[in-house]
Amino acid sequence: MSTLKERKGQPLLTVRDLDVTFTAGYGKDKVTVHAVKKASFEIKAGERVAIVGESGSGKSTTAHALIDLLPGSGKVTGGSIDFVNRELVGAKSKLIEEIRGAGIGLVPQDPMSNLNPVHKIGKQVEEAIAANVTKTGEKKLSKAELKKRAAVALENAGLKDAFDRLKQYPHEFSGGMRQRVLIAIALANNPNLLIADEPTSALDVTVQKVILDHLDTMVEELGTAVLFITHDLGLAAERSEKLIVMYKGEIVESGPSLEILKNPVHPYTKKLIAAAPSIAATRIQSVKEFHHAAKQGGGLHGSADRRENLVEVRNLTRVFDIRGKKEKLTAVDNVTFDVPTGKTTAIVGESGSGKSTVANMILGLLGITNGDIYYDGQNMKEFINKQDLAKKFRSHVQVVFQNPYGSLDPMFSIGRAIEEPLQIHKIGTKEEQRKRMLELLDMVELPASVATRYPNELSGGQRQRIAIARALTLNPEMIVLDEAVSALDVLVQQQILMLLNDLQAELGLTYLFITHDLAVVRLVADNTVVMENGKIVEAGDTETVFNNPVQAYTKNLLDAIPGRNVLG
Amino acid sequence: MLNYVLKRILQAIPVFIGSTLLIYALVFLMPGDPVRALFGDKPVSEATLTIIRTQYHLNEPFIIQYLYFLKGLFTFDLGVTFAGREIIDVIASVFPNTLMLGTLAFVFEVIIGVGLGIFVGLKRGSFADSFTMVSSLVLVSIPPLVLGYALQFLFGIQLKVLPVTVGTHMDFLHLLMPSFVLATVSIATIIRLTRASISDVRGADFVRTARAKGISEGLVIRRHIFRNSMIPVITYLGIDLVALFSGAILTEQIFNIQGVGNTLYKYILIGEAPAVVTIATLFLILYIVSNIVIDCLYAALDPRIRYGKEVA
Repeated sequence: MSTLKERKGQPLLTVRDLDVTFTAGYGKDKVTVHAVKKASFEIKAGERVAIVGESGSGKSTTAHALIDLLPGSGKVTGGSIDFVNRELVGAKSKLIEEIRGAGIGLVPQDPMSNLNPVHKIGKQVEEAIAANVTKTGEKKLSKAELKKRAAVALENAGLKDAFDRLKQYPHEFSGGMRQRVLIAIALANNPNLLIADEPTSALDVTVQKVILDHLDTMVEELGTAVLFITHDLGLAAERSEKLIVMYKGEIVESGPSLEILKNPVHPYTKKLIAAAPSIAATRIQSVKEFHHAAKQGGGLHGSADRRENLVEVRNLTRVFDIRGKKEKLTAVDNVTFDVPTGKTTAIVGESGSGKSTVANMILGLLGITNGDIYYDGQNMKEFINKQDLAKKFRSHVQVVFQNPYGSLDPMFSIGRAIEEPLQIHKIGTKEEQRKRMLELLDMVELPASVATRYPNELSGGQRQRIAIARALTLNPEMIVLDEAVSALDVLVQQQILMLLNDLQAELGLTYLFITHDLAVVRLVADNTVVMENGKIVEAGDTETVFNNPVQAYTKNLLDAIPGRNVLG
Repeated sequence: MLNYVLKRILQAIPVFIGSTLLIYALVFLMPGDPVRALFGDKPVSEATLTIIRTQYHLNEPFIIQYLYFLKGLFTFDLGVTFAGREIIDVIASVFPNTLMLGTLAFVFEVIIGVGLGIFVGLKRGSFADSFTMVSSLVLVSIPPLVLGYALQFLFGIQLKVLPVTVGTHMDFLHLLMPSFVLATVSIATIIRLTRASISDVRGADFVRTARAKGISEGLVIRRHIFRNSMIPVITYLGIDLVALFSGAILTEQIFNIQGVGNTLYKYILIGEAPAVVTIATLFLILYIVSNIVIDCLYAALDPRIRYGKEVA
C-alpha cells in the first residue's frame, strides 16, 4: 500500500452532479426541498478544499452526503460520488461503513454535543480504532494495545496526560479539549480525507486558532486531504488552497482561494467578500460628530446637557461563591473604564473573561461586590434599589441579547412584544402605542405586516431586528448589545451592524458591545476594552488597540482572527 | 458512586419521617373514638375504656403516639385488626400474591413495552410503527374491566386454554391472563416513551459521530442509542413497579386473587383504619426504596448525574 504522501496530487474524491433532497409531510402535503443541486467538485490526495456559504446553502449537506450521514429524510437523488474508484451513491451499507473512519474521517461542528455523555473518552476513541484496524487487514488489537493507540491519538491531537484523560468523561472536558478528542477520533485511523464541518465555530477565537494550527500540522504530516466546511470566508481562504462557494444549494464559484478573493465573478461571492468582517479593514463609516440631542429631558436628573461619559465604572469587582467549594471566583476584578456618550464601546474577551458579568452589573441585573458604577453621574447604588428610580433607569438603558430565538416570547405577537415596554411604563394611549410600534418597525426596516406575526415565523436576522426595535421602544440613551450579532450569518450580521450604526447616528445612542468577535469590534467600536480573567488588560480607542496592541494577550486575540493576513 | 448512593439514602430519611407523620396525623384527626367504636352499641364502663386507652397509648400526646407507631413499625409489631388478626400476618399472606402478579406484569411491560418501543423507535414512520402505535392505542383504550372479562370469556370459557380465575392457584399459567391485563394499562405508555426516546437519541450529534467512526450499525444502536435512551424509560418503569406492587384492585377482583389490592379494598369498606394505615405505610416504604434504586440506576447510566453535574 502506498502511503498517503506518495499519492499526493492523484484524484481522491470526484463528485459529479450530486443532488440531495429532503421531504416533509405525506401524500398531498408532501414538500420536497432540493438542498443540493447538481454539485460537482474534485479533491485530490493531500489537497485542502473549503466549501463556503451561509447557513442553508447546502454546504454541510454536501459533506454529510459523502459518507451517507444525511439527517432525517435527506436523500441523495442523483449524481455520483467516486472515492478512490469506488462509487458511494447507492452503495451497500457495508461498503459505506468500511469507508467511514478508515477512508473518510469527520470532525463535527459542535464539540459539546458530539461526544456521547455516558461513555468514557477512552471508550469513544478506542471504538473508533477498533472498528477500523481490521479493515486495513491488521489483526484485532488487544485491550492494552487499543488503549495505547487511543492515548497516542489523543496526544497527537494535543491533549496532555493522555492516559489519564482516557478515564474521564466528556463533561469533565472543556469545549476545546472535546474538539481535540473529536479530531483525535477522526484522524486516529489515518484517513485519506478529513471532512472538517465548521470544526471550531463553537470555540473561542484563540482556542480556534490553536486547534486549526494543530490540525494543519497534523494533516500536513499525514498527507491527509481536507474538506473544510465553513461560513467564514477569511478562515476558508487562510486554511485551504481551493474554495468552493455554495449558494442556495448550488456551487456558484470554485477555484484557487486567492484567485476567488481577488477576482470574484459571481455576485454572491462579491457580496460575501464585502461582508466578511475578518477581511474588511476599518470601522463602518459612522457619523462620528453628531449634534443630535437624543432625548428631551436628558438623563436621570432631567438636565438637558449631556455628559461626556454616560457610564463610568470605577474599581468594579464581583465575586461569586462556588457551590460546594470554599474558594470564591472573582469574575470581575477591580475594573475601571468609561462609556463615552453617543459612542460605541466594546468589551472583548474570551468566554469566562468576565465581560458579560460587567454588562449585567451595568444593566443593574447583578449585584456589585465592590466598587461603583455611575450612570449619568449618579451612583447606581443610590437608585437601583428604589423602585421608581430603578424603573426610570431601566427605560434609559436597554439590552439586546445574543440569541434572537430565546429572547422573544413565542406566545407574543411581534406587535405586542414591541408595545409591551410602553404598557409597562404606562406611556400613551392604545392608539399611540400602536403608532409608536409601527414607527419602530419602520425604523428597523421591517414591514408593518410583521406586527401580527409570531417569532417562530421569522428568520434569525428578522428576530434580531425585532429585539432591537423593542430595545428602542422607550427612547433609551444606551443599548447594551450582548453578543447581539454572534449568532447571525455574515451577510445578516453586516446588515444588522449597518442598522445599528444608522440608528446611532440618527438617535445619538450610546452602545456597549459585548463580544468575543474582534472582527466585529473593528467594524463598529470607537473604543475597545480588552478583558482577560476578570481584569482589563488593555483599553483605548479601537484603531490604537488594533494597530499597536501593547499586551501579549491582545496580540494573541488579534492574531487569531481568521483570514486576517490572507490579502495582506 | 458510593458517595452518591449514601447521599440518596440519607436524603430518604426525612422523606420517610415526613410522610409517615402525615399519614399518622390523618388517622389521628379522623373523627370518632376508635375505642368506643370497638364496642359498638354495647354499654361499656369508663374504667374499661381507660384500660384499653392506656394499653394502646391513646391517652399520650400525638408525638409520643407517633413514636410508638414508628417503634412498632421497626419491630414488626404492626398491631391487630379489629377482628383480632395480626396485621403482619395479613400482609404476609396477601403480599406475596401481589408480588407475583406484579412481577409477571412487569415482565410483560418490559418485554412488550420496551421491546416494541425500541423496535418501532428505530423504524419510525414504517408500517410496523404505525401498526404498533394504533394497536397499542386500541389496547389501552379498553378498560381492564372489559378486557379482563373478554379474555376470561375467550381463553377460559370458549377456548378453554387458560384457567378462568386464580383463587389459591398462584402459578404461572393461572397468573398469565391477569398479569397481562394488569400490564396493558402501562404498555402503550411505555411503547410511546421508549419510541420517542430512541428516536430522539437516534438524531443526536454523537450518534452521527459514532457512525462516522465507521463502527457497525449494530454497535451504534447497542452502545450509543440504547443506553442513552433508557434514562426516561427507567424512571417510568420504576414508578410503575411500585404501582404494580401496591396491588391492583380491579384485576385482583376480576380474577379472584387474594392480593393487597383486594384486601385493602375490603378493609376500606369495613373502615379498618389501623390496617389501612399500616398498608399505606408499607407502600410508602416501597416507594422510597424504589426511588433510591431508580436514582442509583440513573447514576450508573449517566456519569453526569454521578458527579453531580446537571444534565443538559
